[in-house]
Amino acid sequence: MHTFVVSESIVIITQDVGHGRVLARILSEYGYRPSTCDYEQALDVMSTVRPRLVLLGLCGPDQARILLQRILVLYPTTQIITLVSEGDYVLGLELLEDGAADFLFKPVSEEALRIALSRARATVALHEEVETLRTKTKVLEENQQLCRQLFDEVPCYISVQNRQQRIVRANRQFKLDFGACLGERCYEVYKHRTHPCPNCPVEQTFADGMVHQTEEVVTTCDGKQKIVFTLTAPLRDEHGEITEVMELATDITQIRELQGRLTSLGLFIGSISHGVRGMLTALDGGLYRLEKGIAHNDMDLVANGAERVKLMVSRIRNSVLEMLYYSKERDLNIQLVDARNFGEGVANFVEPKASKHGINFEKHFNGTMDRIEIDPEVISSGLVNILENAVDACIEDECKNSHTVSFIMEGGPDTVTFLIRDNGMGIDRSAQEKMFSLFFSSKGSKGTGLGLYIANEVVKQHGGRILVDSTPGVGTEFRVELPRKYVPQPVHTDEQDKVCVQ
Amino acid sequence: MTQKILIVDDDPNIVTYLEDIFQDAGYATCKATDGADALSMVRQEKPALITLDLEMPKEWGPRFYRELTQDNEHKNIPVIVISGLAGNKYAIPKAVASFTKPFDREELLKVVKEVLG
Repeated sequence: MHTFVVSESIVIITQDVGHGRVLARILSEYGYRPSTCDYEQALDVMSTVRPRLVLLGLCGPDQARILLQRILVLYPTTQIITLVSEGDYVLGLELLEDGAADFLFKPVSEEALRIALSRARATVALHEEVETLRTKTKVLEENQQLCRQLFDEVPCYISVQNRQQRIVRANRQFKLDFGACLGERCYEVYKHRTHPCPNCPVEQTFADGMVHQTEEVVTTCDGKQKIVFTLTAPLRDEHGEITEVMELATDITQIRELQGRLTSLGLFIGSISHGVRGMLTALDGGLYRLEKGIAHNDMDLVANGAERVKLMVSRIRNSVLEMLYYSKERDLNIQLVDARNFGEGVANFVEPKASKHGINFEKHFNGTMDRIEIDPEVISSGLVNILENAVDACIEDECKNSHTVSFIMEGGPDTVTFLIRDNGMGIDRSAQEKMFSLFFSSKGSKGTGLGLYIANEVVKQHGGRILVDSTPGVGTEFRVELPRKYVPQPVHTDEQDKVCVQ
Repeated sequence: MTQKILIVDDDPNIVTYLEDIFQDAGYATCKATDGADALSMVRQEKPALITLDLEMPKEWGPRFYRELTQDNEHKNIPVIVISGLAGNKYAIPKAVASFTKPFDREELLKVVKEVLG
C-alpha cells in the first residue's frame, strides 16, 4: 500500500540514467512528479522545478558532496535524500552532517524509499508551519508595538480602570505626570482625594456603557495643576460585558487660561462694581464725619472720619490694583525694601480687621530681616489678601472658642518666607486644588475669585512660590517664599507653575 | 415726636453714614443688616420710612419688600431704595425713590423730607 501523493515535484539527480528512470517510474506511481537529471544539469533543473524533495544518487562521493552543499546553499529548506552504496555508513553519516535529510542504501527498496520520502515531506511541512508561525509572530509583535506606541505617545492621559476604580493600565504620559500608578485608585492618583469624586464619569460609563465627559482640575505628582477635559469609553470582554473603562484626558489648561483672560475683564468689572459702589459710598460717609468734625472742632469725630476714609481708600486701592492686574500684565516695579518694615506694614493692614472680630493677631520676625528686592505694592496686596482670607476663615469658623491668625516672617540668606497661619475652618482638598484658579471663590458674592489667583501670579512673577497646607476644621497655613534678590522670570510657561498643594 | 427711619444695609460703614446724615437732620434711626432682620425691626420699631439696599447676604431687598407689602399693618411705610445695582429703580417699582450708590446726600435728604412731610 502506497500513500498517494498529489503533484509533489521531486528531482532525481543521478549519473546512472537507467537507475534514474526506474526511480522516476516508481515515484510516478506514488503520484510524485519526478524530473530526472545528471549532476551537470542539476542546478538548472533545481532552479526550474524548485522542488521541496531531491533524491541524490551517489557515484563519486566528493562530487556528490559538493553538489549537495551547493543545492543547500541555494535552497536551504530542500530535503535531500542521498542514495549510497550498501553498507557505506561512514559516507551516509558524513552526508547527514552536510545537511542531507536522510540516506538510503542502494539498491533502494520501495518500502525504504516510501518511508524516507514521507518523513522528508513531514519535515518540509513542519518547516513550513514554523515559518508561517514565525511570520505571524512577527506581524503580531509589530502590531503590538504599534499599539503600545500609539497608546504611549498620544499627547493626552489614558488610563484604564476596573470596577474598583483601580488603574490597570496607563500610558506613558499618564505615568510621567502622575507617577507609577498601576493598582492605585484613580481619585487618589489624579485628585489626591480619599473618596471617589462626585459624578465620576467612569462610574457612569460602567453603569450605562455610554461615553461621558467632564472637566476636572487634577494635580500632577510634582504639584502642577492642570485643567483636563475627560472622556470615558467602555471596554468589553468577549461576552460584551463591560469589564474596564478607558479614560482619556486632554490638558486644556492653556485654553482655559486664555479663555479666562479674554472673558475676565468684563466679568470682573461686573463682579466688583457693586463692591466699588459700596466702598465709594462708605468713603462719602467717612468724609462726612471728617467735615462735620472739622466744622464742630470735634477731634474725635475727625479721627474717626479719617480712619474710615483710610480704610475705604485702602480697599478701593486694592480693588483698583486687582483690576489693573487683571486687565493688563503690568511690569513689576522692583524696589529694594527693608523686609521688616514691609512685613510690619502688611501686618498693620490686617490687624484692625482681626481685632475687630475678636481674633488674636500675632506677628513674629525670625532670622535675618535685612532687605529684599520686590515690587512692594503687588506683594503686599497678595499677602494682605491671604491674611484677610485667614481672618475670614476664623470668622466663619464656629467650632472653636478662640481664634488666632499668625503672620511669621523668616529671613534666610537667599529667601524670605512669609507664613500665614490660622486656626479657622480650613480648606477641603477640592477647594485647595482650585483655589488659585481664576474666578474660583468659596465666599459666594463676597469674593471675586481673583485675590488668590493674582497673589499666585505675582509671587510667580517674582520667582517665588506659594505652598498651602490645610486641614478642614483645624486650620490653614500658607507659605509664601520669595527670593531675596529679584531675577526676571521668563514669560509665563508651564514649567513656572509652582503652586504646590502639599 | 421724632420720626424714625429704618436703615437696611449689610455694609456697616454705609449704615454709619446714613445714621450720621439722618440723625444730623433730626431723625431717629434704627438698622438691620438683612431682609429677615428688617422685617422684625419694622414690627418692633414701626419706622416712618425705610431705606433699603437690594443685594444682601441672607435675604435680598426685593423679597423683604414683598413680605412687607403682605403685612397689612406696615405695607404703607414708604421705601427708598439705596443700592449699588444699576437699574435698581426697576427692582421695586413702588419705591418712593431709588438712589444708586454712591448717592447725592442732599438729594437723599430732600426726598426724605418730602416723604416725611
